[in-house]
Amino acid sequence: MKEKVLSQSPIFAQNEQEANRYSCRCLQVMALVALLAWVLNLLHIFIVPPAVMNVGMPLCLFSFLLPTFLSRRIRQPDLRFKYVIMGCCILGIAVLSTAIPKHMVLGWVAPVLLCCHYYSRKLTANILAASVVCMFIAGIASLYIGEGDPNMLDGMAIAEAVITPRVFWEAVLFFLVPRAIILVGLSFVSLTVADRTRGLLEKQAADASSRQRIETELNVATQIQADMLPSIFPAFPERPEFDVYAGMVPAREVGGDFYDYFLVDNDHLALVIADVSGKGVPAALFMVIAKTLLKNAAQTGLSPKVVLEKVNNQLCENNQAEMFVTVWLGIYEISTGRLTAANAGHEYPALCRKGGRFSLLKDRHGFVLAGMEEARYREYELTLAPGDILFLYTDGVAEATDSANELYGTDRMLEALNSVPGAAPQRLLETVKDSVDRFVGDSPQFDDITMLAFQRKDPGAGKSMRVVPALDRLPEVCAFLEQTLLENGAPPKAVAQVNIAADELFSNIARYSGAADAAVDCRVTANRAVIRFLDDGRPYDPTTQPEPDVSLSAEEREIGGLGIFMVKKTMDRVSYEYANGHNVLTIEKRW
Amino acid sequence: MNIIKTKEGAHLTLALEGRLDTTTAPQLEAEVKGTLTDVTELTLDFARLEYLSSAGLRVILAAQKLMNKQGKMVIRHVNETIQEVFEVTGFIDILTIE
Repeated sequence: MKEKVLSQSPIFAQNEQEANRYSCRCLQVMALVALLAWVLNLLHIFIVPPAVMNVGMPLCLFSFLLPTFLSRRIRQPDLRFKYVIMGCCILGIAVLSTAIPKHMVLGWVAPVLLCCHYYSRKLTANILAASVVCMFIAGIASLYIGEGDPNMLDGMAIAEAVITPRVFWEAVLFFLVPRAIILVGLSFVSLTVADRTRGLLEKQAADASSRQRIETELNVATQIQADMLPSIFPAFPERPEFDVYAGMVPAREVGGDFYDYFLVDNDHLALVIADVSGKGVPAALFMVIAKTLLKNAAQTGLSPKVVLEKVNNQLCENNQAEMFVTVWLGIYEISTGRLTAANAGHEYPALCRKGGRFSLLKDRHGFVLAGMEEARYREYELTLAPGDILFLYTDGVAEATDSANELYGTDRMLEALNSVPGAAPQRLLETVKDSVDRFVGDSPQFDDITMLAFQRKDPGAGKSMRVVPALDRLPEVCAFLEQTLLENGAPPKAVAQVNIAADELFSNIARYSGAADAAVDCRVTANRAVIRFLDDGRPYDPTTQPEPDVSLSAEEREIGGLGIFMVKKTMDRVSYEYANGHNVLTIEKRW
Repeated sequence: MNIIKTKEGAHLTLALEGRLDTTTAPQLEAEVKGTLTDVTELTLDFARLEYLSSAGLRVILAAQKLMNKQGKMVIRHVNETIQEVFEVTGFIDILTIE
């Protein structure tokens, strides 16, 4: 049963095909030898009676070559084909053995030896049995119709080949039986070879399947790790005040680099780039811990310095593997453009002021995280003006090497960054990646390549208003939006549609949210307006409301849900988030 | 929002002027409830209506249901913004727009 199951595994199925091929080839060689013997006999170099050879040889050639012929005809031979091959082999040898028994003594080992190809005990045993039986038949037949074995006959001093019962039994007892015993003994070699090779093959099959399992798990791990990094761009479409883009190309299946960005609160954005020492699975596991701890600490509103100190101590606990991580962490204040950052042994960020060129920001480095307990970190501040871009990267960029082992270096990186003046974050990353790829050429990628670019943008002209969430204040809200939009060149139709949306959204807030305070914020850039409605009421996401059936007749119609449905249909984007005790509903209208 | 009423026998025309939204829809609702008792033909003239919101749709739906029972209702002079609102909400199929 076990043998059968394993026989179906790809390795054994493949072996079966190969064994068939090799066995056919062996039989071809045997046919060639038989042919040679025949020819030599015809040339009278061998002195077997020609009549015997002329009958026996064609028969034996036919037997030896039949499997080759069949294997070319049958496209997918099944497990029984090996018995056909063995049968032909035994038949051929039996014919030869009948004709010229003394020359064929060794030939009887051939079928059993051929069985070695198949790693099957059962086959070897069956073929041994068949060989012994056929050897007896052929041996006896040779006494009567063949070239009686002189070994037998001479010893028994029989002049003419007259087979008396005594001669017969002596031939059997003293010649055929000992040969059969020796054949059985030799066949054990074949049996043990079959067993041993089969064991090796089974081990190989098991290894292959466990290797495949590990590979599958690694792929899943890579996916999990990739999913841990925020990768939906634009990352904050409702925030016209900044743009962030990031990407990672892992060197092996799983990498130790990571980046992260997230809102700490409505006005603060955390930016993280980090590189864990080492590579592969250990680095990836450490990365998961470091990333989680950093995010947890930063989200409590701590400053970068305090976050790094806290996470450093957390990572130092039980860090038996002696791993560490370099981190650059910045907290950006959206309303003012002020960036507070701290660097734990990470590469210098590159900064480009609006209209200027990228250069390295030689900030003060602290020690790596998880390197030493109670390490102190410093933080620094810089203010980004609209248009300024900060570019963060890991050493996979700077230390990419070409085939001559030369480093890519930060100079080439700055050159690439400066080759596309005015480019947005995404374009910058693509440019640097292309530049690195071109530099590296066909050399393998040693380290993860991770980059993050952040740009403060001009949020556009706009205003905010605070308003008591009551229905009778709706005209005020509409007037505010209308004025802001018209001042900034929005077409009347867009204004009307925004007004309809404001009617739906603000009346919802006034009626159902229970809010005591609300605000409306309207930003207009070029050809789009981004309007945010904030309220401190119960968390409620109107965008998840089921869509109404707009195909019903007047009598069946219900009006619920129609308002938000209209907003979704007429605006270019509607999104909701709950942050810091506020419902924030953002709509965007383009024209 | 202003509502200008013109009545000729059983034919009532309501010309709306301004915006039909959450705050003004109750005005039209009161009009529809109070004056439609012996009307068999209702015309809503939107020539000077800027836009309407779902609150306005609600009243129009109520009026259409009522007029389905006692006559017919027609809406005239619909601007592009309002036409789009009718289209996305499927109201185009249940209203008579001229």
